[in-house]
Amino acid sequence: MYFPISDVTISPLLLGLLGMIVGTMTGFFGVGGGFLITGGLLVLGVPTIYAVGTGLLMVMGTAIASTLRHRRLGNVDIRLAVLIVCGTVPGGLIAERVNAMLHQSGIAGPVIGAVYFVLLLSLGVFMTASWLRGLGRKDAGQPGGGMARRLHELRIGPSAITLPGLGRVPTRMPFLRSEISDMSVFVPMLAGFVIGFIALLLGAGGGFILMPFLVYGLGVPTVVAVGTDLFQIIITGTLGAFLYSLGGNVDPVIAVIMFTSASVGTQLGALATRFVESTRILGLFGVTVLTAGIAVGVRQLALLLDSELLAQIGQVLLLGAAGAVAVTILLMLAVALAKRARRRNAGGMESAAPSDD
Amino acid sequence: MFQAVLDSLVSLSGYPVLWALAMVVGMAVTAAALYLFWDLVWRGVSLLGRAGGARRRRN
Repeated sequence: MYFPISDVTISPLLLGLLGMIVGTMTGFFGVGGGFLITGGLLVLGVPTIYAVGTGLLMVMGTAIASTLRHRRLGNVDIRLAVLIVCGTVPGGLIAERVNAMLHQSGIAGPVIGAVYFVLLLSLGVFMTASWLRGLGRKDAGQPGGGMARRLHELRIGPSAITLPGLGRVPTRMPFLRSEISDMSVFVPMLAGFVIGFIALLLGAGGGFILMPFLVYGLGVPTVVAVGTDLFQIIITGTLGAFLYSLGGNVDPVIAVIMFTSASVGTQLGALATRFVESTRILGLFGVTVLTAGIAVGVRQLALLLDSELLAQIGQVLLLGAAGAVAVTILLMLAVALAKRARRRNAGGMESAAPSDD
Repeated sequence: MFQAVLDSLVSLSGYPVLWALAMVVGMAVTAAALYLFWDLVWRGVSLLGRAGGARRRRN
């Protein structure tokens, strides 16, 4: 099928498959999947600028659909998400200026690539190692360690502020959905600022940083972290999509085809979070981020050596690993649903048995 | 129909702000519409599941 806006011919089936993989991972992990969509579209032959712009539009759409689904499942802490966004927006705007300065000095590509590589690799190693260490332990992966306690108790800024129309408002409050009894509002705002800065510096939604921070840093339950994280991605995704659309670098037809199939994956991924243990979600997320880090490293090496083959290997590695993780998620969901159906059938038979007597 | 939509999109691309707004609003509306569609599907599945459970208990 020919797409006149980006001037490329691609099979809609391949776009649908890529959308399905991205949607499953978005619903399950609470990440926008921008790095995956852009990488996938590049492999399918979409020009780079359109791949990035269309990717951001897709991130925005999948984040909206996933957040709505997670909100229905009770997985979104709106209060926490709004406070994080209050920090994300100024952080992102400063990142835009830093990005422009880096571009002017001609070092944006290598600097952003190196930051991306180090960040993905270290996050991936940390999360995978935490998951492997916790295997077989009953309390493994449960959020709320020493770091979370210290951040909850942290006292920064004034104890109350005056807001127009609301009067004096205390700056410490509970976040019940996130199981935080008391925390300063400045903690999520500051975290949002730092994450927003890093995310928009890298041209991503920031989900791959925020999700581990919410779980390991603030001790938020994994499923709530997934939903809350998606709310923040709506804001960064919309901002990015709008800026890229202004330059005309978005192909809406590709985005809609991919998004329609992604919506199926999003529903299944979000549903899977109800059945799969949080330790497994974190473990799979760690493996995905680690693979993405390796793929980014291979791509950086390809740029350094000017090797087309290495660049292709990097993209295929990224897509192959993502596909394998998406299939694993769907298999875990299928197994959980089959077990539940068997239990229900057995329960039905047991409850029917006395009446037969 | 598809060609007409495609043509109007191509002609809109000459107006950057309108085009950008159309992209963002269009995607938001598509996302909400698909969410509503899937919400209805899940409600249907849930109703069927409850009906099946009630039938099993009766039997």
